[in-house]
Amino acid sequence: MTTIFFFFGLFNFVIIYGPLFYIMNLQVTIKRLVLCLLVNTFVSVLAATYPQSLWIPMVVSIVVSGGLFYLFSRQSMVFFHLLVIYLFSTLAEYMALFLVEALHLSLFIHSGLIVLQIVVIVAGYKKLLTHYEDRMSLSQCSQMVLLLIAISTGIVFYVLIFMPADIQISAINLVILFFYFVIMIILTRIVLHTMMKEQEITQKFIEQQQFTHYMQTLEQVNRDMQTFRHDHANILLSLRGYIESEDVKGLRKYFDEQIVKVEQRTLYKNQVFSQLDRLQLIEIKGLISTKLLLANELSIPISVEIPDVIEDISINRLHLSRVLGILLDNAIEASTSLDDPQINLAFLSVEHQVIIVIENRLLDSEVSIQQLFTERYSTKREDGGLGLPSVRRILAEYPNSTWNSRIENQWFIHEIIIDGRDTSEGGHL
Amino acid sequence: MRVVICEDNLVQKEFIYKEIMNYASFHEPSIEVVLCTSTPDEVVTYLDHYQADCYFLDIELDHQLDGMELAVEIRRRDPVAHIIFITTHADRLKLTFTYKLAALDFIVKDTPEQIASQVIEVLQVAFEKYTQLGEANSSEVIQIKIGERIKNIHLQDIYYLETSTVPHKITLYEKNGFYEFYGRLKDFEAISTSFYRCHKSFLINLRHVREVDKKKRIVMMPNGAKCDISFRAFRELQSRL
Repeated sequence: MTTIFFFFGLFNFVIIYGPLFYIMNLQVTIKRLVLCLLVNTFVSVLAATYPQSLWIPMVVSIVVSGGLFYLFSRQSMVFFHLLVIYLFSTLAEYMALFLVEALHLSLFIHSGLIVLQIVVIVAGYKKLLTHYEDRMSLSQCSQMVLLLIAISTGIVFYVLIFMPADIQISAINLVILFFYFVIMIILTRIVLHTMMKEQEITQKFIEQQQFTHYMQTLEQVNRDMQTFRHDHANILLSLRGYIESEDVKGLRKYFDEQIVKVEQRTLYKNQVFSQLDRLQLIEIKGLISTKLLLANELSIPISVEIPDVIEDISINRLHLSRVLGILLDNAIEASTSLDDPQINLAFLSVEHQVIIVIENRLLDSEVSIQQLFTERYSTKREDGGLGLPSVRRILAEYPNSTWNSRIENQWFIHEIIIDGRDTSEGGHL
Repeated sequence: MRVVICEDNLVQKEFIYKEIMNYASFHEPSIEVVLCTSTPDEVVTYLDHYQADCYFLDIELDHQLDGMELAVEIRRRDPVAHIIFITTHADRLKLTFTYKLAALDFIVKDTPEQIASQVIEVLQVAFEKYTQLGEANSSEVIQIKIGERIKNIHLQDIYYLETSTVPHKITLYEKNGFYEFYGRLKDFEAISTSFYRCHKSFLINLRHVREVDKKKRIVMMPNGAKCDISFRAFRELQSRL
C-alpha cells in the first residue's frame, strides 16, 4: 500500500512539475527539485489525512506549488499554467481510467496512457503559448480573466469527478468533461483573439500618431525652407547695399552676425530630416520624428546620421521601437539638466550589419554604469528605473544582436549591432 | 610622420598646409607634408607607390571620387592610417566618420583662427598616436571591432567577463561600461596572469576584486557586480588573492 502510494506521489510529482519547468523555461536545479519534492510530500500527507475531502489537498497544492513556482520565475501567469496542467492531467487520467476499465487493461498501460496524453497536450500547449507570447503581452486584467476561466473549469471538474461518493467512470461523464473542456479552450482562444486585435489597433493608432509627427516635421522643414528663401533674397539685397557703399566693415559684421547664423540653423534642420528619409522602416521613422519634436521643444539639439538607405533591421519592429524609445527618452531626460546638451543618433550599415549609435552628453561620470542597469536604481525619482534592464531583456532574445554601452569623455554611448545575416524574425529559437 | 592633404578649395588647402608646416618647424621637425593636392586621383596614384601616416581629406570634394570614397580606399590599403576629415558645418557626420571610416578626427570649416587651432589639435593627437604605434604592446589590450571602428580595451580596466544566456556570447565589463561579443571564455583565460576563471561562466580580473563573501561564495567587483565562485575554484582563489 505504502509503496503504491509513494509511487503515485512521485508520478504526480513528475506530471505536475515536469511540464511546469518545461513551460516556464526554468532551469532544473537540485535546490528547486528538493523544494518541489517537499511541497509534494506535504500535499501527499494532506491527501492521506483528509481522504474524504480531497479538495483540501488540491487547493493547497495549487496555492503552494503556484507560490513556489512564482518564486522561481516571478511571473504571475504561473498560477494559470498550473491550473491548466491540473486540468490536463485530470482529463488525461479520467480518459486513461475509462479506457482501462472498458478494455480491461493493466495498471501500467494506464500510467503509460496518462504520460503519453500529457506529453502531447503539454507540447501543444507550449507551442500555443510561444505563438501568443510573440505577438502580445498580457495585461493584468486579461490574466485575471484567464485565471477565472481556469478556476471555474477546475471547480466544474471537481464537482463532476470527485464529488460523487464513489467515483463512477462513465462514457457520458467523459463526454461532458471533454466537451466542457473544449468549449473552455474555444472561449479562451476567443478572448485571446479579441485582446490581440485590440492591441493591434492600439499599436496601429500609435504608429499613425508617430507618422503624423513625421509629417508635421516635414511640413516644418518645408516652412523653414520657404522663410530661408525669403530671407535669402533680403540678404542679397542688403549685401548689395553694403557693397555699393563699399562698407567692408559693416559687410563683415553683417555676414558674421546674420548670414552664418540663419544658414546654420535652417540647414541643420533640413539635414536632420533629409537623413530620416533614408530610413525605410516607417514605425521607426515615426518614433524618431516624435522624439525629435520632443527634443526640439526642449531645445536639445539632436543630430541624426543615416548615410545609407536602410531597408530592414532584423529585429521585430515592436521590440526595436521599444528599445529605441527607452534609449532616446533616457538621452533626452539626461540632457534637460545640461547647459550644453547634445544627442547624436546614427543608423549605419556596414557590410551585413546595421549599427545603431545613440550618444548623449553627460555632466559627470559619477553614476556607475553598472548601477544604471539594476532594476531598483534610477536617476529619475518618480517612475523608478531607466528601462535599461528592459532593453537588456529584449535584446537578449536576439542572438544576432550585440549591445555595448559605456561612458567615455563625458559621453554616454550605446552601440547596438544587429547582424542581418540571421533572418529569423522572432526572438525565440 | 608623413602627411597628405587633399582639399579642392585652394585657399583652404594653402592655409592648412601653412599651418602644418608652421607647427612642424617649431615643434615636431619629423612631421613633413609629402603631398598637397586638390584632386583625389593624385592621392590614389601616390598610394600606388608610397605610403603616408596621416591624411587630411576634404569631405565635399567636387570630384568623381569624394572624400568619403577616398577614405575607404586609403583604409583598404592602410588599416592604421590616421584619417582626418575637413568638413563644413552643414553635415558634420561625426558618427558616420567614426564607425564607417574609422576616422579619428575632423576639422569643421569655420573662421581661420578656429581652423588653425583645430589643425594643431588634431595634428598633436595624430603625432602622439603615430609615436605610440611604434611601441604599442598589443598584448595589453583586447580589440573589439564595431563597424570599422576598432576599440581598444586595456586589460587593467577590465573587471570581469561573463557568459550570457545566448551560446558563445560573452559580456565584458570594464571600468566605464560593457561590451558584448562572440567568443569563448577559455580563449581569454591566458591573456593575463591576473585573470582567473572562478566559475564556469565568470572570468574575473583578480586586481579588481573588492571583497570575497565566503558564505555565499561570491566575489564583489567595484561596479557592484557579484560573480559566483565554483566550489572547486574557491580554495585556489583564496590563495591567489
